[in-house]
Amino acid sequence: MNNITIYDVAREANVSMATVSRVVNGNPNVKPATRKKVSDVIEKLGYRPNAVARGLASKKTTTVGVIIPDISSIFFAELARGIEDIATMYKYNIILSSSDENIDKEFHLLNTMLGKQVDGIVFMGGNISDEHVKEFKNSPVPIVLAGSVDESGQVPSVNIDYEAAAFDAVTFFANKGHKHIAFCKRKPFRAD
Amino acid sequence: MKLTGYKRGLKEAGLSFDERYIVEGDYTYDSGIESFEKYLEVEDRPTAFIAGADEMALGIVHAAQDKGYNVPEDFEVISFDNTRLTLMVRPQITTIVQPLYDIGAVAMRLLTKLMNKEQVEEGLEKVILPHRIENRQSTK
Repeated sequence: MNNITIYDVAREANVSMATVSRVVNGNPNVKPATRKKVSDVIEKLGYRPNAVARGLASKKTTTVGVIIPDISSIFFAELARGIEDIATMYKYNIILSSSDENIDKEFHLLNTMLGKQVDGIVFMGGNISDEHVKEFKNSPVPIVLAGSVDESGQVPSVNIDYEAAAFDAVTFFANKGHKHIAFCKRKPFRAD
Repeated sequence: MKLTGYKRGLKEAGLSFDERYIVEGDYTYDSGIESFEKYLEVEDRPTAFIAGADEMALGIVHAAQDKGYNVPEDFEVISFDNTRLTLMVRPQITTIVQPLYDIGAVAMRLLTKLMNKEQVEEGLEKVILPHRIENRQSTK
């Protein structure tokens, strides 16, 4: 049971409850030293702000949009489960939609979710084009890519190093003496 | 990305790149079957397959078996991802483990930091998680 309240954090950090609230809600109007002190106490006590109170205080919902190519794919199901568990831990609800990796549908979902005032978006897609990057950068809320590579390096993302992994696979076979190594790659989604 | 790594691996091993050993699919089971059939027509046919996704590897293995070949004796196969599909086929597939659950979890954690305007350390907006090869029975 976690019964740590905002009052406990304020007392331990020797600041007002309003200050703790500002830190929790990401209000920039807090001195960096104070922010750090409060964050450290939050970490130490394991304080989890009440999502409803936080939402009311900042007049925001606490919802995250998840755009996934195909919810029926076992690959994306495993990814989505990781997203959901952490979202639940941090008291965010999820809106999840399948895009079929169709760019029009992707942008439509993105705008629908932004219209619902989500607080952030996790995006998965096989092809992150310049158009995607431009659209993401115009978003009023943060967007993170999961298992999706943005070669421009401008969008926050979480991946493995696919190039190194393919290199390792070739080396694995070459070391066994294979000379003819086939690679079944992915078809580009759209003709450029 | 994967293609770049493939080419770099060949170069490092002193093997030359050959277009005939590249087949494009859409990462589905059916495209694995089609890929294998295309490769059978290639002179100096490949003896080792790297499938871009698990489902495709299952297609390759089954297509080979349907034609009377044995995996891994006649063809060795490695796939990307390590979803549980790799365990639902015989032989079980040697795979490059992509920690899917962790990628989702870390992405969501990164997003909570960005949404709450927490400080994200430099370089940590581009997270690269480790991969590894899990040896199973589709390779010798």
